[in-house]
Parts: sequence; structure tokens; C-alpha cells
Amino acid sequence: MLVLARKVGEAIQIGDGITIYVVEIRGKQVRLGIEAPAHLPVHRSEVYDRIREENLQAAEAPGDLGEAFRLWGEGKGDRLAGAGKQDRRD
Amino acid sequence: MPEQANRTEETETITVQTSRFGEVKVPVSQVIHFPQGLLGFPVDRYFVLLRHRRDSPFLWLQSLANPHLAFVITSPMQIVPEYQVKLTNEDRQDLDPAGDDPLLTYALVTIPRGNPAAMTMNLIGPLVVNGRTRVGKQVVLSDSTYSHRQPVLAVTRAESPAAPESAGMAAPP
Repeated sequence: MLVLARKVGEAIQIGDGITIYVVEIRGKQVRLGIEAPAHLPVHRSEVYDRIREENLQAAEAPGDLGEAFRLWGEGKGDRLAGAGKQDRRD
Repeated sequence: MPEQANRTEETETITVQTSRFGEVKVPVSQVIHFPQGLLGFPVDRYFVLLRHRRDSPFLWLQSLANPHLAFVITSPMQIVPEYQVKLTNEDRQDLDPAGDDPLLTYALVTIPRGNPAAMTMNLIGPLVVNGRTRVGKQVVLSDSTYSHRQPVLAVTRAESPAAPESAGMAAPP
């Protein structure tokens, strides 16, 4: 990994279209300004990683949703009852 | 057997190979294009929606290119009625530049094998689909307070003394 030391107001250029500025350093936190082409989404890594990890797990879904469907149906009945709308039709 | 999500009069269909449901025929109009793919799955760009079965809240999002790749999705508002997706300008540009198309929101459901009671849905990475153009995007909600593992059965189980602890209860917001 390339490690560069930068001061507030300085920047890092990545390729032709991406610039990362050090906007402010306050205590242990660094605020960065990022200029990147619109087609390159920029996200905090932890949010991105969480979604990616969750996608990978979601892709392992069992082929048979019968039990999940049954549980949902029970929950739905309870939810409706809880909301004061008794609407069970099973 | 899964059914087509929407029945139409169209005759133009494509045949999709799937590892879970065998060969499925769907109208071409049901194909959803995710130009950026889903996070972690950058290669698969084209999917179709297959309804789990009549009256089921679940839909399958099946990859056209990869028979093994399918996600269970659902409408998150059924569980979290106040759920709202705040789109960035970039999201709008990608999904609905003119701003007048219907946008559909889905959440990916994670169903642990052998423990469906612990199923969760991801509320920080919803799928938003333009209902007219069939262009979709996994939207990243960076600053939201939503969970990526919202228990689907939480509302019920939280109030039930018989709630299994494995369901990991979070109080409803």
C-alpha cells in the first residue's frame, strides 16, 4: 500500500479524474474532500463492506422458501392483530 | 414453482436457466438491468423477478447469466412502514433522470440456512428499480440509521414471550 503524508489543504491525485483533499484535521478525525467522476460511487468503506457482505450472505438463500413463508404468515397475522386489525384468513 | 411477477399479454419471452427452479420462461419486459451490478456481484447485470408463489411476500431476483445466483427480495415497507430511501442526485440521475417514473423499492432478504426464523433484510442497501425502464440500482444509504440486518419477524417476536432468542430482537423504531 502506498502511504503518503499530507497537510490540510493538500491533495492526492488518483489517475485523471480523482482528487482527494485533506479538508480538516480535528483530533483523531480527518475530513476529506473527494472529487470523482459521477460513475464512480464514493462511500464510507464500512457501509460499503457491510452491504457487500450482506449481499454475499443473501445469495446463499435456500431454494425452498416454504418455512420462511410460513413464519412470515404467522408474523403478519400477529402484526395485524397488534395494530387492531383482525384480518386473519387461515 | 415460481410464477411471473406480472402477467402480461406479451409473447416475447426469454428462457432463463436457474439452479433452483430449472428452466423458466419470462417476458422480456420483466428483465431488470442493473448497470452497476450489486455490491460484491459486479459481473451480473441482468436479472428477472420471479414470484415465490401467490400471496407470498417474497420475490426471487434471478440472474440471467448465472443460474446459481438468485436473491430473495421483498417490499421493506411491509415490515417497516415508515421506511424511506433518500436518493442522492447521482442515484436520481442513474434511475430516473426526468423524475417522473415510478420507482419500486425492494430489500434483499438474508435467510440463514436451517434457521429461517432469523431472517433479516438489508435496509441500508435497498434495490430501487424504475418501473418503466426496468433499470435498477443498489442504493447505498450512507447516513441512515437503518440496519443492514433488520429482523423480519421482529415486530411479532419482540412482544411474544415465546420469542426465540436467536431471532436477535431489536426494538421497533
